[in-house]
Parts: sequence; structure tokens; C-alpha cells
Amino acid sequence: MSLERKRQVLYTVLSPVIQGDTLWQVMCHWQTHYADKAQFEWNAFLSDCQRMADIGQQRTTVYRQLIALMLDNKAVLYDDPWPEMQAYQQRQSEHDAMQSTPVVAPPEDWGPVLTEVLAELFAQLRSDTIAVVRRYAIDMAGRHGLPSSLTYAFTQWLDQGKAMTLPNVPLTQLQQLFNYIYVALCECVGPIVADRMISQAVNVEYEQASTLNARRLLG
Amino acid sequence: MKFMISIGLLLVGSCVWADTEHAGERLLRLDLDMVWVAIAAILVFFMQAGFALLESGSSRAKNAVNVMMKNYMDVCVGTLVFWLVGYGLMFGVNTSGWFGMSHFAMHDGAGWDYLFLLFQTMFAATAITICSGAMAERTKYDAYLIAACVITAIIYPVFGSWAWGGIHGGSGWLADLGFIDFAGSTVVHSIGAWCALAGIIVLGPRTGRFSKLDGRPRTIPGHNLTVVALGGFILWLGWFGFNGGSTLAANADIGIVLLNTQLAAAAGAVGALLFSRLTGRPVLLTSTINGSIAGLVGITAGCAVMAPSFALVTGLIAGVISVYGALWLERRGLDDVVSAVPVHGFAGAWGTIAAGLFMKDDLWNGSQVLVQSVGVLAAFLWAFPVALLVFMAIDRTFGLRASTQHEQQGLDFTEHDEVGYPEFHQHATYHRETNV
Repeated sequence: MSLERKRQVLYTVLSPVIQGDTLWQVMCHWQTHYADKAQFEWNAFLSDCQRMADIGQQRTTVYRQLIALMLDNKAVLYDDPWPEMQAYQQRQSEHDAMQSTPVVAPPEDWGPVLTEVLAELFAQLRSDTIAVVRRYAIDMAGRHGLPSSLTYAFTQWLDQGKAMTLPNVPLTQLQQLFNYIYVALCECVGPIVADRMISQAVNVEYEQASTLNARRLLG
Repeated sequence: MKFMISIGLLLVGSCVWADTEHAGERLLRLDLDMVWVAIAAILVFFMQAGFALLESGSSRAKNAVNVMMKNYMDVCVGTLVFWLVGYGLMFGVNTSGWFGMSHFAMHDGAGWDYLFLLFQTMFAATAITICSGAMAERTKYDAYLIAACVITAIIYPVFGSWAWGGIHGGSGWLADLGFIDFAGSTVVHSIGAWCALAGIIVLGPRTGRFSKLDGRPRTIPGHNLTVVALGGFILWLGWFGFNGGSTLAANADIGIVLLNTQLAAAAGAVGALLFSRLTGRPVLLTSTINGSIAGLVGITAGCAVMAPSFALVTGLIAGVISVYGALWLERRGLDDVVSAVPVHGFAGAWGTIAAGLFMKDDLWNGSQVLVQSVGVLAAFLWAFPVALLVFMAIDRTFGLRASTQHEQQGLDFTEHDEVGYPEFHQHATYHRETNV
């Protein structure tokens, strides 16, 4: 089943139960942490949402509906809510930025630089290594409170190759994400190879002489 | 009559001359002893350079300065803390048998007292520097220095007082049992190694050292094996002062001590080579050098009491232990960057027992071996748990382990804001703002 259809299923089931930003928050949570996981992880996802009274009270019903729709290929589903989710992400990014970076100057968008560096880096990796790196980085980002817009952009880039646009995410948080990727690489290919790969990827982008210095991603 | 008076005067004169000559000889003897121990102290101090080179070369280039700094500061804080507290606990008047209680921050004494303090300060610095190598590449600098202070102030001197204490009165309980550790296989090297073992357990391995999938170890090669080899040579040289100076006298005993030291070091390297060959492993420079250092550690306890052939056997077995011990630690997921625990701990324990086994004119003395084993066990049971508590307390309060971001950038940059090889740094691991 495609990622879009899974998203439609979830949206169709959750729409009558929760609305507004709460709905988008839950959708984005699923997108970031569960979109690429197996079906049986739905239960864990609903456990995460347990604190929301509306879902908590109807958890069993919601779960049954999700499974039923997943199995029914002919079911009529709502349209893919992806644009609305992006709009929510954008609002959240702005909100996060206002809370975490009280600076007057307009923030720099490190998204394109990060995209290029990661493209260079991931091009050297096997698909199974990418999967491990992805899982670890997203997991750590979630645990350490990195903004969901960042992890979301990262997964979007991995899944669909969409360039990351992160105008409001501070550099320190990108450095943190980059470090999680480094740690995962160390675990997969060893620290010596990880150092070489990271260095090579950063240097390639650095030599492109773009306006932002890719080496700053190193911290 | 004149003849009788002349004879009398001659006899009195020759007696006075003989007394003067005897006193002069004693003075000359003392001067020679002092010069020899002073030279030995300088040689032991030079060992710090050996440790620094060996440990730094065994680390990645991005951590080379940090390792050097830790070795440098080991000597500095070690000297101050040992003068202030350690010496008094170790060599002060020891009536209980458990620790000394005088000569803290010594500031009045004879020339010999000062020299002895200096010589022992170098030993204390050696004990703590063993930790720095094992814990390299992932330890916070300040946290490490705090641990180094505690080891020099308490862990090392308290055990030292059991085996060597009572220079200024009383004696240690292990010494009373007849424990032999001539220059410190256990007192210096094993104590340092057990502290290092505690440190690496609390720290955990370097990121990526062991595969998360199957636990298999990954080699993280040092950045400069030439420097490692030079460090090994310097340590070997310094060991002549370490063991030879422990005679505390410039006498004929130095001969056997130095020969045994040389034989054990050479045999240690051969032992490491043979073990590697016989088990189908590559003969590494690092394990060969570690083999010779293990031989040196092993012979340190018994270099004054063994015949040369047994010194050779002691060194050979110590060399094997150093290679096997490193593999044994690896299999348990323990990351000891320079194999300090097998080289100083395991080989030190073996050497201490060997001193009982191979005592000249008293070979295979079971009761002596038992006493030696008690000493080895006491060292472990004292140093390891106390060091474990110290490292855990530091970890809880200040944090012992550097963050993964610092590990990524390298501790040279994050801890000291300078790098060892600015022109030749192969990998970009950090970014520094410049005004150019």
C-alpha cells in the first residue's frame, strides 16, 4: 500500500473524531514516526495519541476502522490531506522559530545546504544502511525535541526527494540532526568510514561555494 | 723511646686517617645514591613523554591534542596532589598498617627526603596516566582531571601504603605479610589499570567501536604508528630508571635489575609475536610494542629477586597475556584504546605472582605465591570498586562522557580549541569561524 493511501485511510478515520490543529498534529506525528512502519504499529501509534480524550475514548473503534479500511482496497477515502499538513507544518515552523530564536535578522535557510550534503552522503550508502540511519536519526530527533517540521522535511526528502526548506529552523538544530546521522553511520559502517564520508560530503558542498558554508553543519 | 713514640703517633695518625676516609666514603656513597636516584627520577619523568606519544599516536588525529593534554596535566595535577596528600598517606607514619598519617605537603626534611618524594611523585604520575590512554577519545577533559586527582590523592597512595608504606615509621599490612613488589607491578601499574577498567566501564565504548547488529568489534586505528613506536622506545628507556632507581642506591644490585628489565621487555615483544603467529593473527606493531611494555610491567615486581632466565619467562608470558587480554576485553564489549588494562593490569598481576614463583634461591615457594596473590587480589578489590564509585559519581554530577557532537568534531577542537594537525587534517570534522 502506498504512503498516500495510508495517509488517506488515517485521515478518513480520524476526521470525524478530531478536528483542527489537533488533527494535523496527530497526522504529522504519524507521518514522522509511523508512516514507514508496518501495519501492526497502528496500535503503538494510537497509544501515543491516548492522552487525547477523543481518541482515548474511541480507541478500539478507531483501530478497527483503520484496519478495515486498510484491508478494503475499494473503500472510498477522503482526498490526500498532504497540502493541509504542509500548511500546518509551515505554521508550526514559524511558531517554533518565534519561540526558539528571538533574533531580529531574518533566519538563513540551511535546508538546501543540508539537502545537498545529505544527497552526497546518502549516495554512498546502501539502502539497508539508509534505513537504519533514517530510523535512528528520526528516533533521536523525536526524543530530543527537535521540531517536527525538521524531521518531517527530512523524511520527505528521503521518501520523495523533495529539497528541504527550513527557513525557520536554527542551525544548531540542523547540527544536532546531522550528528544523529553521524552516530548512526558510526554504528553502521564504523567511525573511520563515517568520518571520511561525512568529510567528503561536506567538502563537496563546501567547494560549490554556495552562500552558506556547509562546514558549519559540523558544529 | 723515640722509636716507640714514633710508632704510637703513626698508629694514632692512621686511625684518624682511616676514620676520615670511612666517613668520606660514606658521604661519597650517599652522594652517588642521590645522583643515581635523581637520574632515575628524571628517566621515570621521561616515561610520561613515552605514554603521551604512545597514547596520542594510538588515537585518531582529531583527538591527538586532547590525549597529549591529559598526559601533560596528569604530571601537573599528580605532582601537586601527591605532594599535598598522596605522599603522606603512602609513606607517612603508618601505625595502623592501612595508611600513613604524616608528611603531608612536606616542606622540611633532609635532601634524601626531598629526592625520595620526587622519585615517588613520578611513580604516582605513572599510575594515573594509565587511565588516560584507556579512556581516550570520549572523556570530558575536566571530568578526567577530577578523577586523576582522586586517584592520586586516595586510591593509589592508600594501596601503596599497604605494600610500601612506613618509610617514616610503622609499616603496611601487605608488607608485613612479606609481599614483594619491588618497583610496582601491582602498586603502580595494576592500580592504574583497575582504575582504567572502572573508567571504561562507566564511559562505554567509543561511538561505532562495536557493531550494534552483532556486537563485533571494529578496529579504530591510531593516526600515527611511528609516534606509537617512539613512545614504546621511550617507555622502555624510562623503565631502566623505574626499576633501576627502585634500588634507591647506586650499588651492584642495579646490574641484575637492569638486565632483567631488558630481557623481560624483549621477551614480552617476542611473546606477543609468537602468540599472534600461533593463533593466526596479524603481527601488529601496536601489539608488539604492548608486548614489550607488558614484559616491562611484568618484571617490575620481581626484577631484583629473579635470575635472568626467569625474567625472560616472566616477560614472555606477560607478552602473551597482553595480546590475549586485549582480545578478551574486546569480546566483552570493553573499549580500551591502548590496551592499558591487559598490559598494566593483567600483566602486572602476572608479574607480581611471578615474583613469588621465581624467587632466586627459593623457587616455587607456595606460601610466597599465596602472599603475592593476596596482594594482587587486594589491589583489585580496593582500586576497582572505589574507582568505579568515583567515575560514577563524576558521571552523575559533571558528566564523564563527551557528547556525540564533541566525539564527531574531535576533542581537540571541542575541549581545547586547537588541533594537532591544522595543515594536514585529512577529514573536515569541525568548523571554526575566521575573519579572513
